[in-house]
Amino acid sequence: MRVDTVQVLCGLILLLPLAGCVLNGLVGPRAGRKFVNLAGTLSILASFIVACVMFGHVIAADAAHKAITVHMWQWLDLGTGANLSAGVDFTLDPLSALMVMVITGVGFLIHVYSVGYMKHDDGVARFFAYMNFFIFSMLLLVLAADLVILIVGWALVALSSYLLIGFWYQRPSAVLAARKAFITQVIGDVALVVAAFMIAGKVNSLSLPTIFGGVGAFDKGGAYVTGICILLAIGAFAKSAQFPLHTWLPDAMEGPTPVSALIHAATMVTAGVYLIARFHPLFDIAPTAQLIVACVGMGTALMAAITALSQIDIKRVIAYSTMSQIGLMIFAVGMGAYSVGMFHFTTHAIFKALLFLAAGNVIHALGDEQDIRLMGGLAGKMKWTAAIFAAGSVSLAGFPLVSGWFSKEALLGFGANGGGLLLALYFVGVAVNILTGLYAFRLYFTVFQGKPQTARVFAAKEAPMVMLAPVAVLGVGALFFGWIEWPFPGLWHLMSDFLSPVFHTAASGPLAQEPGWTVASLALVVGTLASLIGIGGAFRLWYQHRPDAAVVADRLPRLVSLLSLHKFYFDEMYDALLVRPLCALARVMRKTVEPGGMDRWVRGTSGSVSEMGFIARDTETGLIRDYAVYMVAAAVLGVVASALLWFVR
Amino acid sequence: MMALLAAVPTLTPPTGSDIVGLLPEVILGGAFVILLLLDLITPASRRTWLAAFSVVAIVAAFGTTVWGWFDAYNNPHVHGVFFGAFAYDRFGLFINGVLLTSALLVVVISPQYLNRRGLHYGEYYSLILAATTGMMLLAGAASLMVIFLSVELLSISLYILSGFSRTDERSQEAALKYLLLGGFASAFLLYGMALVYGETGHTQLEQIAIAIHSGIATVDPLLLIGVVLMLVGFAFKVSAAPFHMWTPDVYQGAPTSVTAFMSVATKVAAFAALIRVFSFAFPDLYPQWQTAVVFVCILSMVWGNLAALSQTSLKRMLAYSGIAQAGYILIGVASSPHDAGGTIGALFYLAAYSLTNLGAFAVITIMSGRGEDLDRYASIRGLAHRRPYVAAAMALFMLSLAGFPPTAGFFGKFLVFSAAIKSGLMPLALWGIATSAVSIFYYLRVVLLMYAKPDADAKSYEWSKTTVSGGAVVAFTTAGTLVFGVFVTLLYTVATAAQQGALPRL
Repeated sequence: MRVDTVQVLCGLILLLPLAGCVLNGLVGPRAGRKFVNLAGTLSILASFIVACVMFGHVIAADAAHKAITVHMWQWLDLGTGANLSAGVDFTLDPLSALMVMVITGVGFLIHVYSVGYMKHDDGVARFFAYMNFFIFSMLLLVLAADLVILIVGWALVALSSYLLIGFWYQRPSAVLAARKAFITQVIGDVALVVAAFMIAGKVNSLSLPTIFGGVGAFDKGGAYVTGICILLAIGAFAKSAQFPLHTWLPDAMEGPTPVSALIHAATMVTAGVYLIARFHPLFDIAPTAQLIVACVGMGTALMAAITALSQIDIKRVIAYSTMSQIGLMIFAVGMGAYSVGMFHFTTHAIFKALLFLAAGNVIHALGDEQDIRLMGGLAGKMKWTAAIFAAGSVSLAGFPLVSGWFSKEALLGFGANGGGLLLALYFVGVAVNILTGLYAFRLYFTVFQGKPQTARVFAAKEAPMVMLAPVAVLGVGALFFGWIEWPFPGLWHLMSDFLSPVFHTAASGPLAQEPGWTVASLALVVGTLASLIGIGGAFRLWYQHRPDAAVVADRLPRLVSLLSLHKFYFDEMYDALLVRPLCALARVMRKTVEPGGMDRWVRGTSGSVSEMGFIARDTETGLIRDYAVYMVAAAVLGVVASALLWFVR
Repeated sequence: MMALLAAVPTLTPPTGSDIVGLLPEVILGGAFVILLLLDLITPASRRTWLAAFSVVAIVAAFGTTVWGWFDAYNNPHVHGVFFGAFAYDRFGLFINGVLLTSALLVVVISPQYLNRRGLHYGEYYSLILAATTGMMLLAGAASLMVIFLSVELLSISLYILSGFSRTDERSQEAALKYLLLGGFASAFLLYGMALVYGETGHTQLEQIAIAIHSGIATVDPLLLIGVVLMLVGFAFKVSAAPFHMWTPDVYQGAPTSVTAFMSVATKVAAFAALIRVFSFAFPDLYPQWQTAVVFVCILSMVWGNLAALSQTSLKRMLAYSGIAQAGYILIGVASSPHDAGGTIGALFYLAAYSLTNLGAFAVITIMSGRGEDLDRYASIRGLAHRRPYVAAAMALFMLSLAGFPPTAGFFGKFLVFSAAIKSGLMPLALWGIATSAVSIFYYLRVVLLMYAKPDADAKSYEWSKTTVSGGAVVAFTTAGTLVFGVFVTLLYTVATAAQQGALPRL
């Protein structure tokens, strides 16, 4: 790979979405819908083409030169002494190439879909400006080869997520959800920035290649590197909606559905997975942090899967399933199985974007209805959407020989091969498989099968072509993409082979090794059976018995349904533990501490400053003689002082 | 007077390379003369042609400046041209570039504004060109005499320009104040020069530097008083406190396009001379002049920022903000002999400040109503709801002036503060940071006002429509403010080259 070619490619792929954002933001509102649609989608199509070229370059490069870091320009230079600088540097390697492909590819399909979805919304120019801006920020994040640039991208995706969740800013619930998401993100940002300081403190550089080359500076397994990794993980957890920073994601469904598909399913929420995979040289020498990450991932996967069982909002079910699936990815990268983690990220991006978009078709057809108890029987009205949704569901549930099956079973196989705690987590994973089958098909059966519950279902029409075609493309991927990698040693391993230059071996971590034939087949059989049990259970509970949709939740064991329905009481817990005490503290501060203590000081300071301002202003008399006197006085002072100083010396 | 006569060398015709060193100034000076004649034959309705002619002249001068940038590097005129009276170096050419850009932008926004104010006379453009010529000469001046002459050339043009609105009392008052106090300051400057000449026996900066460095001229009170008096003269021109008193009155009274020009170009040119004299000719007197510069610097930051808090007119607020900005640039000067970063920072700051401040004034200029400048705070309330792009640009300029990343203004402050810290002037940097915290209040107030909801019962102001020329200037300055904040090295590299090429060198 030539440096200048990569520079041009990186520049293009970033500038194209940014140009789309600027065009839509500045001239979009006046130029009309057609212009906005074209500018919004074509800019992403163009950057997808650039992404393909990048991908081709990485494939074509010989094995030793798969990764290249290009320096665009120096942004900030603290010069000598501190010797810290921030360059606008980008890395093109298999990992970033894969991310770029997914972001622009899935992103483009979702942009096309949005043309149909936002057809009747007046803010379409604003919408596409934000969406393009998101693509730009996300690409910046995954291409960054410098911690400062990475953090900039990291913060900008949070910003675009905030803007898009609160896109319908007239709805108080959307504004609250946007705020919740942003505050949670900031907690992660702070952790990430502190981690950056700690890294710079040891390696004395912010450039990622230098950092990864200098991991020798850390004690293997030492407290310092473990601390860094935990902070990085907190950043990842906030971004990827993992326990305990997960509560924002379901609320984020207040945004338009394409946003949920792009940001809160396919790309941004998986940035945490990317971060851990990118920082694998650090995680590899901090096994304690790895174990914590794996535990949190699997714990979130289980909790979210249970919660998804009783949600009645179509988008929230999918949101919890996203959380659960990302939990599996975090589990994978936590135990060092980076390649399969990224593999599951890719398949998940496809089938989850599909599920959201198909759900969007349903919501659209029913006039913004999201309550699944009021749906039912839609398969007859929306054949294509139903079929595609079913494809996404089998992929999600892990039906044999469908994309999701390959990636999920592969990562569970790694867990089964690990000993001790990992094996325990593997069994939790098997339980998650059952639950996934249950909630995925609970959703499908309740929405598309059974009897129509409201009159609106009868009026529902199939979505237009512009909203169907992108989903169909994703549907093909959701069924067949997984075939590129088989969960057995020695078989097709296209994804792992492609990523291996980044991760050196399929699993370079000390925790998990690739399973042999025996463990792999055993895990595969167990996992598949679990998935099938889940799907079968859903079939019995919600299809064969055709319960009244209103009581879907009551068909679960009481404790499960109680916890599940209330989302494990996390919102209540945070409300009681954090929000209420803080609000109470704020009230006390406002009523007693502020007026008595702070205000006196603050007002005193600002008052005296503005008083000085008036004095300074009043020296300006407008009279030339006064001005001349000031000048002479100052000059005389200077003359006398310099003469005196000389004599003193 | 004797000193003056003694400084004149025997007459020798200048060589070709001497002329080349002055090419931009010659072009602009020539254009100034031709413009005076053209004005006689140009019909009143066609005065925009004069603006176009000025643009051509400025672009030509800019072209030769760019050419000179490479020529001066390839053929180093290490002792200057014209027997060392004029420095043909990258330092001067950098300043030339900044000045010419400012002049160009001002000329582009002027016709529309002058027409609206009923001030469209041909002399305007010739005076702008004359002032710019003077400033460029000042930027390259390497002799006390040339410094003084070019200060006078630029000052006299600006005296007339600030009184350009002949029927407006404020404008007349501004011109008179500027003239009287300017003459006063020139006297200080000249007196200081006389003392320095008397002590060192030279008017060429290079010879002065050698004389001080080699001990031929002893460091005694008279020399120091000369240095201090020169500082007074320059401080007046850069409007640093306590020699700033003219600034708010003149800025407010002068026509806005003239204020825009004065507020950036005069400061840039005077700072160029100040830096050349103090950092490059008097580095050996650093321990002596440092205290005085630090004093002026702190006073400017404090006074400018405090007084800006209580203003209600944009032009006056920007005048005080300009005083405060002069203080920040002086931080760079105060740390320059210890750390090259000081000069580089000051140069970067000057370029960034020029773009940003010119942009802010351009906004006021292009929004001004028929016959009056709409520069009261009350008149910009709710601007963002009617002129979203202009208001957004203005907000960006305010953020840049306040020093928010990623704008050019942030890096200007960053560079001078870090230079101060590196050269051991930590308290100065802390003062700078504290006072710029104060400045955020009055800069953001403008933003707040523009984005506030207009009062229902408020008088509706007749903001002018944004024309192509005005929009282009605002767009250019916006882009510059952002580009130099993101691609910092673009400007930083050039400023570094300017610092490295600066004459005189010991």
